[in-house]
Amino acid sequence: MLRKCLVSVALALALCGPPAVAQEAYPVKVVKLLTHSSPGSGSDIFLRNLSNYLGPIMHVSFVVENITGGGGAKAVAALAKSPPDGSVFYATTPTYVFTSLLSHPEHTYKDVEPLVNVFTDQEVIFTRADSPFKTLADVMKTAKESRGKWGASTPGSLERQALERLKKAAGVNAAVVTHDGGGDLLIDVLNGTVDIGVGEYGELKPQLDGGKVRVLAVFSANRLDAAPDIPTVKESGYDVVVRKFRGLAGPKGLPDNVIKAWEDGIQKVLQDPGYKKEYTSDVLTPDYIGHDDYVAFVNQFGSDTEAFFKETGVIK
Amino acid sequence: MARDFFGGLVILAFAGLYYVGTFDIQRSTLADNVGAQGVPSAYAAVLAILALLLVLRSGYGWLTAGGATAPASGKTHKPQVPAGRAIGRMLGMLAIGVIYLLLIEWAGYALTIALMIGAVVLYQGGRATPATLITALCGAAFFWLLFVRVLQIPLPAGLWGGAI
Amino acid sequence: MHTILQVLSFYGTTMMIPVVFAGVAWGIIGGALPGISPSITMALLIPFTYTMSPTLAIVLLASTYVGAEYGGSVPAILINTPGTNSAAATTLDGYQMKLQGRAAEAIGISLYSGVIGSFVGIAIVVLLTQPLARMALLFTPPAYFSLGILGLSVIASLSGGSVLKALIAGVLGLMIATIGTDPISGVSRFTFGMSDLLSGIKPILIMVGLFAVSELFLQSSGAAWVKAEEGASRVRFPNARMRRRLIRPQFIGSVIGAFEGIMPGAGGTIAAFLAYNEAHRWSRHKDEFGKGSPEGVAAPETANGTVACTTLIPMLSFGIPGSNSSAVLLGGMLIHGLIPGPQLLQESPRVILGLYSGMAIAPVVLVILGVVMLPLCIWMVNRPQHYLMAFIYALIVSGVYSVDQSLFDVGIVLAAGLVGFAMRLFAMPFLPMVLGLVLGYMVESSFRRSLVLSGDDYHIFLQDPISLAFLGLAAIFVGGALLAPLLKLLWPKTTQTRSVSDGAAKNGEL
Repeated sequence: MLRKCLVSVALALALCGPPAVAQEAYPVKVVKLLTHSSPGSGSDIFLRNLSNYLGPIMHVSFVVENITGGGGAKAVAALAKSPPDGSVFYATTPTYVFTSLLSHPEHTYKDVEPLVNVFTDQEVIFTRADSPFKTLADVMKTAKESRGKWGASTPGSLERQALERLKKAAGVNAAVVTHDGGGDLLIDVLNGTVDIGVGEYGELKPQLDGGKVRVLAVFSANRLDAAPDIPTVKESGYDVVVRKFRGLAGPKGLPDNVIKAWEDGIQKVLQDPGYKKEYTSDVLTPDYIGHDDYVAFVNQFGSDTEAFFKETGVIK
Repeated sequence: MARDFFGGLVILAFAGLYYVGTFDIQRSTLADNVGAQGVPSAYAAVLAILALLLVLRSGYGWLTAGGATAPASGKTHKPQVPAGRAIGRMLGMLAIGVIYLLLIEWAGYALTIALMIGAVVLYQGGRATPATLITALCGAAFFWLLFVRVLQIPLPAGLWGGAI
Repeated sequence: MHTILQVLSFYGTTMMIPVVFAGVAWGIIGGALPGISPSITMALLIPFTYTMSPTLAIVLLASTYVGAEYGGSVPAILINTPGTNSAAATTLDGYQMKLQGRAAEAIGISLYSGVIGSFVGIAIVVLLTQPLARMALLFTPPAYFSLGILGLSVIASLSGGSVLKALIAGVLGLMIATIGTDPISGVSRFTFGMSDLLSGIKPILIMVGLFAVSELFLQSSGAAWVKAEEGASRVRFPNARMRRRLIRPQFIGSVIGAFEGIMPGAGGTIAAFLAYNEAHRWSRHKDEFGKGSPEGVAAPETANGTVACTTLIPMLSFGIPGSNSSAVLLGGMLIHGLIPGPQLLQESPRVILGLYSGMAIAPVVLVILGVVMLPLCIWMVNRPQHYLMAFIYALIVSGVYSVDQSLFDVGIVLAAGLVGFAMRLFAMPFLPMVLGLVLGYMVESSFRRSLVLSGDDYHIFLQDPISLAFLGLAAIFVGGALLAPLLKLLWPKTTQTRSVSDGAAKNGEL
């Protein structure tokens, strides 16, 4: 039913779109987009929104399929076994790299091919609105004088790594408390159990609008367009930059015309005013990376993460 | 009492194995002072103590020929079980489940579930009549419709591929 | 007055009532299938909600949840298989009642109690969301640890025959809960390199294996399956006398359920077991527990009904889902651009009012559908035994596959069935294992998180007031359970109380 529903939506959109211009047609009519997240959560919403706007541009019907379980290992395995004809792709997030490294599944991130990157989620350091910490310097002062308590989401997450790196860069020995997810962490930040937390700016939006939390610094390379007053961690003097990517990967050996079609399609859809409005309200930053650079980027990310895990003893 | 005695020994052995298993847990600098192996090691120790107590209690009762060894609640009667027969029958049912698991990947869900229903009916004393065959087929059709069509669960299609 | 008119307009002019019917019916079916959890049942509906108005979409999902929480109790009573995690406590007395030929009465009590619980829960959500939301913030890692200990302390009084065996079962459950990713360091434990084990073993798999598969294994050696009473295929609602008797367990169930629902992450399973245990403690008919006590069905089912509603409080006020099911509901709201959080109540009051109106009629619909669907269920469990066993077995292997689309999970369930069979031979109770399994992760992770926070100072568990209160209660429970036999020795005539699971252990006896 999921399948049918989406096909009909995508078809309807395709029919409303402008008549097909003389252009090399995409080799397949229906493209399956896999995600390891369940309906209604992060990557699932990303894919569904994207396919609504990208369908008319690329003249294909998109079908989103949720293959949950195994921390993404199952979805990656399904992708690796699919034919590289442009008919199946997978929504990449750092999760699939982490699972590959932590549990050594049969198919890892190295067995699939990064296609393009679309967005970056902005990781930020936040605290509760009535906390005594006004800047990152205040947090560090406390961490040096007594013993800071910092909160991260799950143990192996990108957020955890960001805090561990920050700890090292600042030369403090704060306690890094892990949680079962962003929701648990938020409670511990709101009730003052931990001094600061790390989370995605988009997910914190309702709390920010409601005046419950305050953002102290962002982990991105540059300040956010949505909040230009907040300094980056780097300009505060700690050389830590985190990039939580959101893009697509395909099976190994994708043909050039497919790669080209996606590179053009993604660049176009990011300019689409309707889509722009939608992703800006979700505070996703468009971060287009073409195929060649994306392969290098993901490999670099993978080897950096592996080095971090080995250094800290999480894996051998 | 004999049953408790040997059961206790099995649990004791399990506690030992589990404890040895904690040695394989990675030591990480991201861990806390309790460590990833800390709580499991404690569980193993507690289980070993409990199992040992059980072995000693039942062993003592065994030696004194079931004397005053009533457990705390004062319940003394032991269930009368023809354990051998029960275990034999159980193994048959388990085998049906295991064969289902081995078969489903290539025979596909629809056929395997029909075979399973038929096998259990026969194993439980149903006769190999056309009625049994029809029940197995109708049952399989019902489960297939429910899980594959209505609930959209991608159960293995097997070698039939997308044909059914 | 204006509000009432608005609510009536929802019922009159929108598709609200048909949507609630559809949601509740779908929920009952999903909940009754072992392995199909309430959250999966709801997730399967999400694609249908795209084209609906936001209000109807949310109402559909919420009423599915209400239906699923009740649906789980039907197989728990009829075939000793909890359809959902939180229905595990219902198997204790529900299945015993069925064995005594009182299936229709047990279902009636479950339905009646579930509806009472839902109404209490809805009233709490509508009236008290704002003040109670602040309460969710009071819980810190030490408090969660102590709540887990409080839950585990129930083992002492649920033990029945042998405290020693109950403790062993409990520790085994805790051990199963350590499988998977370590909550603090992220290393993998006892996974043997299998990515299927990375996120741990889901409690529902063990429960279905322990209760249902081992029952099938046991029944295969010939003991005749007890049929539900002939001719009584209609739900028998409790009469006035019984209703008075059920007030106390229902009160207990709804208080505990309301409380657990507000604590994000605590969940309905703990609520059901705590409610069962407290209902037993405060009952005038203690000796009936574990042998088909109506109160033993009423308390956990009321708690389930209440939790299903109050779990919405942290979700609506902070956007923090308290359970998997409310996470799906959250997803459903996000799809429609509704962002739960501090401002939702101000920004989209109409949607919230619609949600409340839909939830208010869901229990009524639940009664209607529960009554209509029961004869079919009773008919099914009264088929000849070999057919029934074949269908239950087939249902189990198909249902548990759906949890994660994994044959590995089916293997786990078969293995758990084997363990359950061994435990029955060994007269070891299941419930301590289930409690250990359900609470193990919470206990360990909050224990270690607390120590990270305090710099390995164990006083943190006594300094946090909520944690101290829970630990104190747990100490009283355990102390009481251990002292009771001692007192009995000293004053043999004064106490006639028997421990719960004289009967519960019957569950584990051959």
